[in-house]
Amino acid sequence: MKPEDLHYAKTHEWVSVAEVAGQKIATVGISAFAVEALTDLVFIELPKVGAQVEAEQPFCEVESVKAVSDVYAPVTGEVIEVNKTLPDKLEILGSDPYNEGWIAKIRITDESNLANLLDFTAYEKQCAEEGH
Amino acid sequence: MTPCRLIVDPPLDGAWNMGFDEALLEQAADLGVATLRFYQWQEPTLSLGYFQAYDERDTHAESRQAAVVRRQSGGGALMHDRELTYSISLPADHPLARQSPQLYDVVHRSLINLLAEEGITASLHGDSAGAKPAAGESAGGVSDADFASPPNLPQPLESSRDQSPLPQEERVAVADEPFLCFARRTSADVVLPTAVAAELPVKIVGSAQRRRRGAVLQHGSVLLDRSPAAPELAGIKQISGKSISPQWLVDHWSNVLAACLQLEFHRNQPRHGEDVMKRAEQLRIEKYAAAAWTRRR
Repeated sequence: MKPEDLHYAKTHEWVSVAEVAGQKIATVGISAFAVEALTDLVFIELPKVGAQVEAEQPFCEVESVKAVSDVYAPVTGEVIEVNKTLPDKLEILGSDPYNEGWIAKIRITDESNLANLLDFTAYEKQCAEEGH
Repeated sequence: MTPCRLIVDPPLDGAWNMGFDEALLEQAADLGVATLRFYQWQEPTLSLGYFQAYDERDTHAESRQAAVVRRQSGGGALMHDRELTYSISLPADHPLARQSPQLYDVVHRSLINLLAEEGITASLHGDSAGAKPAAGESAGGVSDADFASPPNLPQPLESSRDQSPLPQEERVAVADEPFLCFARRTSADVVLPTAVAAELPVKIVGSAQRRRRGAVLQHGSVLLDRSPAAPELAGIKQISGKSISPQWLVDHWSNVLAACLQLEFHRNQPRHGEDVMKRAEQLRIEKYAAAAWTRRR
């Protein structure tokens, strides 16, 4: 996936929504900007498959340099798959955040917040404002 | 200047201490309230890092009988005994709230400067003669262009501008790190040189962070004296020969920290509201005193 084709939460998670068998499935991860800002990720706690997650609420946690941070669900729905390779290969988040570095797939049950997500241009602008 | 509440607590139990810190972080995140808090522990207490496995404590025989609590922050286990703990909760609009390495740096340097006035020569491990050379600037870090340093705040020295406090060789094999935080080293740690030049400097401050919606809690311990529950760790008293009392540290460091972090104490306000106390008690009972939390890993 190309970052230009994705949508983003203001809290730096990326989202790719696909239609599968009549259901909307969101693949989500952390943006390259966020991975860089976190620096030296050492642990991740993935959400549990089957968990109900709510947009803009914590659904995953990461540790970097003794700092634990929440990762927020960018959509509302049910976690149907997680990237089990991540905890042992966290470097993927830095090297390929938009493909191999995906965190979870979520079956969207409430589409109302999708309009709040940013497109790439808007997200880049937000990052520029945060970074300077 | 950021308005800030100053709280100096008596020794309290571990679950309360952690519940109160989380309640203060929530206030920083939800209400924009900054707090500087100092506290101690009513009994020797081991605090586990958020991601540490509970069973790891079995590897440290001396602390096995001590009370235990799990923190919401990262890093290794701390033995809270003859020490002073500080916590700083900053709202998202504070210039250092989103700048994790710089916050460690500013807080730790402020203590180094304070101790220097007492004739105690501490330094950041990254600046000390016994430290391994710092890593290149790129690995996992961010550039200065990504995070501009805030104006009017003490600037980290160039040697610590690497955004990662971990030297390159320490950025791997996290699972092999020592159980105790004070047995670990990052370049941002505060250390004291020993009388033996060949020995590694002794770590006297260990800090960790928890971030929430742009706000940050940084808390950590200043090791004043050796604890029987962690006898392998020397404190300031053993290394420098000088006794620093918790009260002296609170009295002097609070003002130094306020100046460094551009905090303005509101001493005449209620020390803390009823809501945050209720929330802290709820967190103490439902989370930090519960085995489900302490043994979650």
